[in-house]
Amino acid sequence: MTGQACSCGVSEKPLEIMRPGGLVLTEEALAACGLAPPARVLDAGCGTGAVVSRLRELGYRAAGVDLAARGPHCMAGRIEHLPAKTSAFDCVLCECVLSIAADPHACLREMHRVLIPSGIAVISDVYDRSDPDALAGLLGSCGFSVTLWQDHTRSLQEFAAAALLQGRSALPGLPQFISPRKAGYCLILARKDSPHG
Amino acid sequence: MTTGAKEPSWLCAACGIALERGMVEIAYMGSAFPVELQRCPRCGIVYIPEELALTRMAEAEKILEDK
Amino acid sequence: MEKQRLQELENQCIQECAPPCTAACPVHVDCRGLALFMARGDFAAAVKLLRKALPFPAVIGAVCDQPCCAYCNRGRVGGAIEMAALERAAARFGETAPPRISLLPSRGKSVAIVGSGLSGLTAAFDLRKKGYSVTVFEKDGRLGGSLREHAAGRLFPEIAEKDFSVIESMGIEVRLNTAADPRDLPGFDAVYAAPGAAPAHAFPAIDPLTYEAGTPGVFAGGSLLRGSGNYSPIFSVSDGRRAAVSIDRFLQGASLTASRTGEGSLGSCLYTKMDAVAPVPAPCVPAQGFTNEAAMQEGARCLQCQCLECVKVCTYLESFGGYPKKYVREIYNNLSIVMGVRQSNTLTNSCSLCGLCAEVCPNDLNMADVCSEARRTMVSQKRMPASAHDFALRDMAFANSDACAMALPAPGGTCSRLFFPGCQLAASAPDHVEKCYRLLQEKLGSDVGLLLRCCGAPADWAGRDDLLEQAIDEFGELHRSLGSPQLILACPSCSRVFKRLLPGLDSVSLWEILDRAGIAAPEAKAAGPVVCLHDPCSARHDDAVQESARQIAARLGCRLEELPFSRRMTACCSFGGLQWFANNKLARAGIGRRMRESTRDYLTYCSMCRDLFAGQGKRCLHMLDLLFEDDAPGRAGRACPTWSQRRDNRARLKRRLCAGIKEETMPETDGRPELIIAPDVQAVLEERFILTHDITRVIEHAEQTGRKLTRPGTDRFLAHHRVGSVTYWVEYTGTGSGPFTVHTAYSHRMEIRERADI
Repeated sequence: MTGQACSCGVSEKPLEIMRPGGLVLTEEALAACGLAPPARVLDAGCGTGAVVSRLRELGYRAAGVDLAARGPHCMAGRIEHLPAKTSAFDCVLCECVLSIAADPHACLREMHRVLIPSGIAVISDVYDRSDPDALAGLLGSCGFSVTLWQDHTRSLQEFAAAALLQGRSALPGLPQFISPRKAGYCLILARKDSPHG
Repeated sequence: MTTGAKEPSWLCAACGIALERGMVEIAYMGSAFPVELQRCPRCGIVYIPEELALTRMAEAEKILEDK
Repeated sequence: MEKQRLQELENQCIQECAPPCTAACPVHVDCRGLALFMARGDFAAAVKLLRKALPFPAVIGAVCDQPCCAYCNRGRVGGAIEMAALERAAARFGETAPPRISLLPSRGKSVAIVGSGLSGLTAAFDLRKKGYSVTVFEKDGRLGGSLREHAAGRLFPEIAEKDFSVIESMGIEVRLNTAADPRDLPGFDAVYAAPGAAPAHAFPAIDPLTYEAGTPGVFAGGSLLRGSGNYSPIFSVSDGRRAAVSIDRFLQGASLTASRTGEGSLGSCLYTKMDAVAPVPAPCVPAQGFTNEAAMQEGARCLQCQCLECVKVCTYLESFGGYPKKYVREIYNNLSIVMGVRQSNTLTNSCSLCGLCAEVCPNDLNMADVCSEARRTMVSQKRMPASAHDFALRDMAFANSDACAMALPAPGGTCSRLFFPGCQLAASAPDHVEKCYRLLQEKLGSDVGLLLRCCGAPADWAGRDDLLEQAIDEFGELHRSLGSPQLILACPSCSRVFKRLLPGLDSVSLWEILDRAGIAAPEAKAAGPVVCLHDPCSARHDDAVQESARQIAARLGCRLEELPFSRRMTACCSFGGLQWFANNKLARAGIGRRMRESTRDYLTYCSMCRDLFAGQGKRCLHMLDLLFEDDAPGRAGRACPTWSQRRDNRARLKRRLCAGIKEETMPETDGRPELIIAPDVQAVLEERFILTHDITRVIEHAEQTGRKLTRPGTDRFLAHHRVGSVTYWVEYTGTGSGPFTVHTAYSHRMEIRERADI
């Protein structure tokens, strides 16, 4: 085993990161933020904590929060009420979470709170290709300015194709408001607006 | 996974050993990604059942063709 | 595709144009939509729709002068729809509570309206909605102005009271019994004068587009514009609305004249076919208005005018649920996406390129041009999936390979005429190619040559200009080396390709030649069958060929019946544009529709049409069957050769011609192992587009390398091998040099990158 991820980023241990783009997309996003170790990064909705472990290997001061958190540096908690201090992180990751969150507004407001001024939120998620501006609009209404919007629908398609070949459903957990034909995937970087800016 | 009449499973004819699940790289329309499939643990020859090729694999191709 | 070209194409499709009623209505009430809701008895939805265009639907319902009537298509078949009565019924049955009108936030500016007729009140309503403070000055003691006198007897007071009550509920200030001079109302940012036809306030010049009345900020309209004898309630509403647009623009400092072409009463460009519409007489409208049943009946009398001429005749256009205007945009968007993902490959690749849509379109919009161009763009962007056309392109490559392609006379010789049967005639009926060649020599002299090749049509359909150019260049070279003879073409698709790409080429249809040569039926065939002639779609514009085909068929003893869609209006068999490969399910639906046009046997002069019909169980003859077969009717049931057989037929024809004519020893057959394939397995292979040739390669590869799977306790092997861009799997019995029994075969396009890990 080479341990390398392919272009779609599904790692060679496919159960670790079950989302389009995988670790590769996360690392690309951090590079695009210009954030180098030892920046403080919170993974909001960290699942099994795979990203947190990887980021710590790279030297980031990374922590995670998830309802079913386990593993080192991962805390149990809800994204709507992050167990973290105000202005504690340079960057918050929120990957494949907002689209299934009951209250995405509340999640974003909490992420906003725990970020330092001008801190960066990294959002990757499914979106409705017939309404591509919806997520950016949501971010804008929660005090963020979008600095980067990238389409990664190809990763979603590769993820779906791989899932089909392994006998799983193509797009598990796709929110009901997005029809499979219209489902896209995007990466967004958003800077926390300063209150006086 | 299939129920009903249980057929003996395929062996690799060259190596004479049973197939096991393992990671195989699949490529199509400019994409390449790993997938866990039945293959010979020694020589790597892969087994794609007819049912998989005609249904889920065809569907996966369609998804990747809409490039 | 350029944006401008997209717009031109989109504009050719008139499906979204307003129907004549809505276009004629100066406020563009959606009459068709209203009638539909009324027919369904959904009065609440009907009145909601009305409110989008009319501030006072019940009043207009009672008094409208209905300019729509004169243009209603139903007018010619029973009488125009009683639109006003429908509006009145919608308001009566659909609106139980007073409407809630939402207002924009205050803009801090005020407008005076002089006169409370329909024009003034409409302007007041619209401007208040936009957030302006509005004051209405009315010299009489109640709202309504000239409406009251003109509509006496029709406008029941309670209707007016109810409809006009929104004015005060919106916070519009009404000053009754107050005469006002529009040019002397200080304190207001703008004024709209709608005092009625009375010449009390003469405005020297009212701009007919903007309603400006000489003084900045003063606008005028309503009956004033038309004079006392020409009162029109609906044009009064329109004036009020258009003046309100001007006033809003004036107060915001915007251009008063920009983009106003869609306002007022317009002509409609929507085409609606009226051929088969049965007359239904208009009802009498009772003084008290329609009952709800009567209103539903009247709604149902509306023709729901729309075009959809192309969608009605084309399974492809029908199956995607839209119409060309939508498709053109979708295809354009598909091509212009730089990042992200396309969604319309299937739409682009499913068209049969037959051009029937252009024949029925009032504006000649041809989806074939759109899809053809889009395929070329996809190819150039390297985004064309191989699955769409790969099989057909490989078939074309095989037809032009040394295995099949040949010329007589052999290199060095020349001829004055050259028979070009096309690749599919050679694939379907190789003996007919030979017989036809001999017949031509007999009729025209021994100076007739023969060229077996593919013209390049599959590459044309697939958008592969590179392969098309190659095929045409190779043909051109051969043709020159044969002394540039006149070409005799059996296949209408070849004819189309050559006419487009080699316009100077001297060519003639085989059918015209046979017609002129006076081919007549031997006596035994005199009482031929009754058949329907299916014109191939590529002969759509070749009137002479269509005529020759009919002449020959008649002379060969056929009694012909015309199909509902024939000649210029003929329908494609579903092979065109490679639809058969790119969207097989759709193609089967399309050919099924064509087959059901008549229960008679079909007769055609394209061998691919013939074979596809036969493959779907439709008895069909090729013109040459009539000429060369003793039992022509029996020949109509001949099975469609499999794709493997088609290849073999071409290759065998070449071998036979070489052996017979040139007395040259053909290379021995390839010495490939024998395959035993049961008919049911063969049928599966055909459906999956798997050639026996490909199966042989898989088995040979497995037997040579030993890379195969085995099932213990059985004698079966499973092997796979990639041929071109397809991976084939074959389950078989037998070893070494065979023979091999094939149990099943399947394929996929994804590439498996196998590797040994250890």
